[in-house]
Amino acid sequence: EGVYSSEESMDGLWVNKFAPSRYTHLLSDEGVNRSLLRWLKLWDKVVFGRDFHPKKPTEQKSFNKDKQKTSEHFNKFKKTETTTEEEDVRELDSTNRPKLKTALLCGPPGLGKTTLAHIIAKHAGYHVVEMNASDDRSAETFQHKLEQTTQMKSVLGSDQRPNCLIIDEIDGAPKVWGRKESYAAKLNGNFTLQAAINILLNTLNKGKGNEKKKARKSKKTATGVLMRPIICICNDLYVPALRLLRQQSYILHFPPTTSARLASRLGQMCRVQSLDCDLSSLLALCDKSGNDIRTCINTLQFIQSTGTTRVQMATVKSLNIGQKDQHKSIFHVWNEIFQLPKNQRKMDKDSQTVQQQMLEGQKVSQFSTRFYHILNLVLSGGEYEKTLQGVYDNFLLMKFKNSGMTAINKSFEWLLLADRINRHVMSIQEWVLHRYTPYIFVMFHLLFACITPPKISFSQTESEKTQKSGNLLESMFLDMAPSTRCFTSQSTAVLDLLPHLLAIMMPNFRPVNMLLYSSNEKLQLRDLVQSLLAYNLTYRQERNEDGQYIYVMEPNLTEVCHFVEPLEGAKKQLPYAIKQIIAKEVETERMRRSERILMKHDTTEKQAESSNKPVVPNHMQRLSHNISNSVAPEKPVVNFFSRFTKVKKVRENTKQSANKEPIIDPGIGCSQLWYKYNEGVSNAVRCTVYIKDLL
Amino acid sequence: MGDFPHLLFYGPSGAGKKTRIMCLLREVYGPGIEKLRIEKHNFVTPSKKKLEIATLSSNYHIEVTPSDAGLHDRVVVQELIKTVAQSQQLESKTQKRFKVIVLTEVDRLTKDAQHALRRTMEKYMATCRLILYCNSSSKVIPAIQSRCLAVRVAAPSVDDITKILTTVTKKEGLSLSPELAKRIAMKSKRNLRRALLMCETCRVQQSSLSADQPIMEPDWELYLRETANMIVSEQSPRRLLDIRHRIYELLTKCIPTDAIMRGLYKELVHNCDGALKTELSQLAADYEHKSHLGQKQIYHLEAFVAKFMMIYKQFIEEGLDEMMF
Repeated sequence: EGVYSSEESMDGLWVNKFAPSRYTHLLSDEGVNRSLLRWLKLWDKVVFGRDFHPKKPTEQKSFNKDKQKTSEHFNKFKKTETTTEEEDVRELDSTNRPKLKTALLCGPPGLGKTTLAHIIAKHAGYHVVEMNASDDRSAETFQHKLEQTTQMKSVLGSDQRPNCLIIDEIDGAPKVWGRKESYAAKLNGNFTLQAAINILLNTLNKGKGNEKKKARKSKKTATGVLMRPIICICNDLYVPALRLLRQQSYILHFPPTTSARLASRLGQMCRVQSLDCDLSSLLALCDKSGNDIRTCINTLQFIQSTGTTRVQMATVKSLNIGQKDQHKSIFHVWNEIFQLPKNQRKMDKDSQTVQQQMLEGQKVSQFSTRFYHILNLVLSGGEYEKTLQGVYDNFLLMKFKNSGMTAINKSFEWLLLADRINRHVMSIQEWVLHRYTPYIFVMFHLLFACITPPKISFSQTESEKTQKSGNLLESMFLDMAPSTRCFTSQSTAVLDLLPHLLAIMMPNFRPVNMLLYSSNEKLQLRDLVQSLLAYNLTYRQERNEDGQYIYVMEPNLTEVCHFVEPLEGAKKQLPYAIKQIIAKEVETERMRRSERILMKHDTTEKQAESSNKPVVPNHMQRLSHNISNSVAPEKPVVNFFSRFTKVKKVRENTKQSANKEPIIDPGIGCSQLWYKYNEGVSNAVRCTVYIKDLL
Repeated sequence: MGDFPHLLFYGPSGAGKKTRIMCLLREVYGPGIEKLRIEKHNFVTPSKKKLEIATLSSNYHIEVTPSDAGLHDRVVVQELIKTVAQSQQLESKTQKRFKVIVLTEVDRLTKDAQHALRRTMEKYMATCRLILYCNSSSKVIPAIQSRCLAVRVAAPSVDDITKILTTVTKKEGLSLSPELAKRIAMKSKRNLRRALLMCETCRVQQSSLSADQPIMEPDWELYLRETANMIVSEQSPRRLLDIRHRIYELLTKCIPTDAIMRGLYKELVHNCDGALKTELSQLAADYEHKSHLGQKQIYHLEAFVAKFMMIYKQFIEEGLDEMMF
């Protein structure tokens, strides 16, 4: 009662010859098969216009009733899918299409994903159109083909079934790790892949946008709405380009076929081909190929073609099946490095070199098995630098046999070697040296592997943080006054300057209005402002999470200088008011400086400044004749507008010390406040205000 | 008159190298040297990577830190000198025949760049002079050292610093007691820059300076001291992990590897006896050298700590054994 009958035998590859032709021959997991079929059946309503009433999952047997053949022996493979997932899928949307418009099959190669998709589509009554990586997948052709298959139907010819599109190998070309030259190509490939997937998504979403419109338009289907099922197949579900598609697809994971089942099927196959074999050697073959159906069949055909009629354990063992270039996740690599192998048998299969040695009659120690295992693993994983970083992050967390310092020191020697190799490779592009890096991981494995599964953690934050403080420093240096910069370098800034500068930035000012400061304090404030400007620092107002306003340093160098734990006496913080005063002063001083530069361009102003004589305004010329010679006492002048022009005060103050020019009596003239009688106009009190005073 | 050969200033930080250079330039070119501006120069490495390097220049000189370019400093050195040196001065009567290129942190230059420098130095002698400055001449290859007039700038003595502090405070209108001046000078480890900053910090913290007032030390030094104490107090993988986090913390705050290594060494050496001292010194030198050959500084620092932990532990255990018998 085998699946294959001997009269079917013909020439050609066994893979094609023994490919299952009907649903019941499928070797893949029954649960997956059913789920896919059920999903496809949901399209019946819109494609064939007939209702699909799924049976209760308990009535498994009747499921296949439209095929006359009910095969009993499949029933022993129990369903593995959870029912809740199926409930989800079973719902139809307003256009009577299933909620998830595409099915996404994913799993390692050689499990029969493509075969499954074809058979199921055929089984449900569709004409299969396949698109795979060998086709041109530029955006235009993709769109064209997509429209062609989902909206058209062959009118002529015998085959009038509706189309079902199968997009195979949707995750794109296989990746080449660690090679620079292919990087651009990969990017390119990804780019077009992304474009193609975007088109696919657009097609999927067309229905959603005009759902309302369609409700009015009754049953008439709008053009462009996807009315045919699409099945996508991929190996790696987590390719970035697939991210959006993943959310809208009915995802089916392919579990690997069990060895026993595969072996029994291979046995049937061998019987048809009159190849003598026993089950154990077939099991070994399955094991060796990682339950890859395609590889197994090909291997068997190869064995027969060499003239042997008997498959024996030794032949299987001596075979050099190409190890698949499966991409193992980096976590897997780390786990393997830090974990002792579980059983010996499993190890044997992985490393061919060991097997070869075994065949040659050499004694293989456990160490060399482990050695080659890790070596191969790391080699296939690539990404040495990342792997090394992970290993470094984690090796101190391992359990140590003795106190461990010798082991740690040994490992550091290797780490330094790796670092040195890396630096050398990077500086003179001598990639040849990279071949020595994997051995370092072997060393780590031998030193630190333990039986308990390790907890691997990985973080990339450290480098980012360094980047951040580096950027802060850079931004400080960028606008620093050239004369200051001349005497500071980055290292001296960090080591000597900044810690002190930050302390200097926190003077003991009284939190009162600036006008009330003593002259000493004002001088101190002025000094502080000068030095802040020289180093391009200021305080900037910011809102914290509580919604309160705080002043933070800009650029925030406290992050560079202060360490996590408060060291002997928590850092004192400047009160808000003082920071505000400083910030304001810095701002005004900055503007004043820029104004001064502008004024220098103005020659008249320059003259006035160089002669240091204040220009006497018109109105004073008349009034001043009797007061011009009287000398003012040296006290700061306060008029009643001083509140509005307090900035000016400081400036006056600073000026006073600079020019000891006799100041006119605070009578009428110098207070800049005068009275002029204008008939019929009420704005009698006037005050000269310059823009620069307001700043 | 007013000519000089290539110069190499070396000496510890805060000794006054840069000040001397600027004084020299001012003497040669006049006050025009103080009109500084910041310029951006773009370089393209052979691997087509674009670099942007900020330079500080006046009409007469240009100052650049080639080590900003990291591994590609050779390109910067070559290109920059070529462009500067190839433009001749138009008026040789009124102006000097040559321009000056100031290269900072020469000890951080890669060997490649240093070798690239030596030919250029001779070739463009007619139109430009190089002033190099660095902390340690030992990291400058002998070929360059022999082409320059080396000027060693020693760190000022404690007495010098006290004198300077007193004059500065007098000019600022403050009175500094000799005791405090002496204390600051000691604390600054003969680094004048730091001494002045410490003095100013003292002023800010307390407007009238008193003799027994606390002197602020940089956070990172305190942190480093604490780290060293942690190393001495326990030697285990777990402790090493803690140390790693602390070193990471220091590195992320842009503290250079050399400074960390030196700081750790200085703190650790206090806790060691005779034989161990020499061993530690050798270790520190060894790992410091290695760190220049590598890329990941944390590996080297941690390797140093791990190695020290091992020998220290052995030392302690041996000591204990001797006590027993």
